[in-house]
Amino acid sequence: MGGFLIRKAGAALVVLVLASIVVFAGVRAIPGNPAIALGAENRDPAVIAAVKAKYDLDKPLPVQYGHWIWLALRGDLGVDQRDLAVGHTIAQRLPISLEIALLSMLVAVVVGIPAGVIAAVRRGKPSDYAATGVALSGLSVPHFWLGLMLIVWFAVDLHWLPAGGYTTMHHPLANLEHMLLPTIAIGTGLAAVLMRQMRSSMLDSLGADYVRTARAKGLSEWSVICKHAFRNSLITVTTVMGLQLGALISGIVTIEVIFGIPGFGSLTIDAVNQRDYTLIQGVVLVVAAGYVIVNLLVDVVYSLLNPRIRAI
Amino acid sequence: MSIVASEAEVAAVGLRRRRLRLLRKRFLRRPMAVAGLVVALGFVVVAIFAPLLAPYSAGHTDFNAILAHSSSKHLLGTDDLGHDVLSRLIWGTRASMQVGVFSTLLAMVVAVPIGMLAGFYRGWVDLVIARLTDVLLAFPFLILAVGLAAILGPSLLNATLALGIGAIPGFIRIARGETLALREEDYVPAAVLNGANDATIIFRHILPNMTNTLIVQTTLTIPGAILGEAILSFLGLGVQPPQSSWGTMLQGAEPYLTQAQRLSVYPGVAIILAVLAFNVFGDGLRDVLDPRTTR
Repeated sequence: MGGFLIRKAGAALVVLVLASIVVFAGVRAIPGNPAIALGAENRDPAVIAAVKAKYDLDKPLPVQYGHWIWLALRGDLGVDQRDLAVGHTIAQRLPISLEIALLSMLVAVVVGIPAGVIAAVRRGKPSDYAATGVALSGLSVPHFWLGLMLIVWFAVDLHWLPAGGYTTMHHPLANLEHMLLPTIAIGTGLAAVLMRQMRSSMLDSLGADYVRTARAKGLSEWSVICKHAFRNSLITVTTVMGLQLGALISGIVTIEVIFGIPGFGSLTIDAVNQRDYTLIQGVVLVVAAGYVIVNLLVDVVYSLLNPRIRAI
Repeated sequence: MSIVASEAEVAAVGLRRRRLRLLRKRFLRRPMAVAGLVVALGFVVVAIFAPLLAPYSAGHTDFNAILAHSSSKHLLGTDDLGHDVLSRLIWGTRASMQVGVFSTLLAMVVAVPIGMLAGFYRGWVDLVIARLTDVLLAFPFLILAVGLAAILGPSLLNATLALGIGAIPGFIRIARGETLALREEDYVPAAVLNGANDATIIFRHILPNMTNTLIVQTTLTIPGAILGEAILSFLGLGVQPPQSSWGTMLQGAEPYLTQAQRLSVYPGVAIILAVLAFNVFGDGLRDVLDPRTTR
């Protein structure tokens, strides 16, 4: 187990370093002077000189990279166009997006897993076809379009929920009210993926020898399904959740823009629209690092659930 | 000798023809998949013949009909700039299909040889490729597109690039997995005995045997790319107005959610139909071509 973890963590570290090199090279690939790009397009010679000095832009590239990473590790991601610390802005916006991510996953799990189990247990019956059909359409409906339609139905027509905006968690009820439509919009697609995966791995488990044995022992159908088939199916579902992380991130970005939520996603799009290179650099670096770390965690959870994988 | 060879050839051709007929029969037995194919082909045809089909050009504005309802002049009405909605849907089909197909092709051309190298040579080659794939995986396609838009500026081409790069890891994984399995087949040592070098084995013997899997992966990657293009254009990172795409149409429709909901309904329905058609077709194709995954 220890060896497995060390190997996985080592691989993740290598990937992190390579990814940071890609980000570093990306900003230098922007046409023009990196000092101007990193200095928020400010052409004042004094500012350019200060940026050059701060990022060692007159030194060789490896030194520049080392210095940049050293600053980034200490949370210093530079200063954006409005002269605000990028690290600080990200730290302010990130929790909002994390809340959306967690609530969306909750929606997906609450809807997708039971639906998948029911479809598998009632394979070939109307409820299976209904669940499978709904899941297929759930996969094909773009979350941002669903978001727009939810605004039309529940905010514009029915006036039940706010059409957008955000309230801090100091007001939990108002916060949830603002979170409901966005998380449903993101959660639906995830629920569809989860449902399909849950259904197919439940079908695998239900056909396995240990389920036949459990049935032969005279266990009730309920305990066969819940204790034997379901628990083993959960293993594959963990991996799928990990693989859906990319979709989750793009969902959060678009939905935040639509609902006007001041999270990490709208920060990203604002950064591109304003061509704020320091901000873009910081945002991309944080996403890449977060992505690698979450994938490492998924690997660890997977290996805890499935001892066979540790040998590989 | 020549007679034997030609007999073998005839037998092979007959076998292939019989196999094709069997596959076609199996495919036609799936009405959903056939419907998916028909709709997907319909979109491709509309995309190819957009200049002939669209009543107006994508940028044509009719200032006498702003936010107009459907009429004989504008079958689906007009948007806030007086653009004919039907024409923009048709031109948008072209953008979507272009991005969907070309980004997938790009991913396939780049990824399949890399994945095959990893699966064929294993060892350190595999390890290096796995790490590089992980690096690609560290950037979700949207973040990649954000980076590309920052460096190169937003455009249809850059959206295609971002989505293509985003689809590379999936193709690498599949090509690698298939190669790992196929290199253990008996025809590989047979080819070695015949004096074949590695390139011949990889491209003449292993690659043809994984076409089915690649076809399925392609049909299932295209809808993702269509969806991705819509997202990027909606966010202003893809197709730029006045060029039309389903995503830019939705972007333009967003401020009119209260007054003209139809403006956001049409492109949404187009996206859903296209994505659903490719997904259903791909699922059916997988059932037919790859019986191992059939449930």
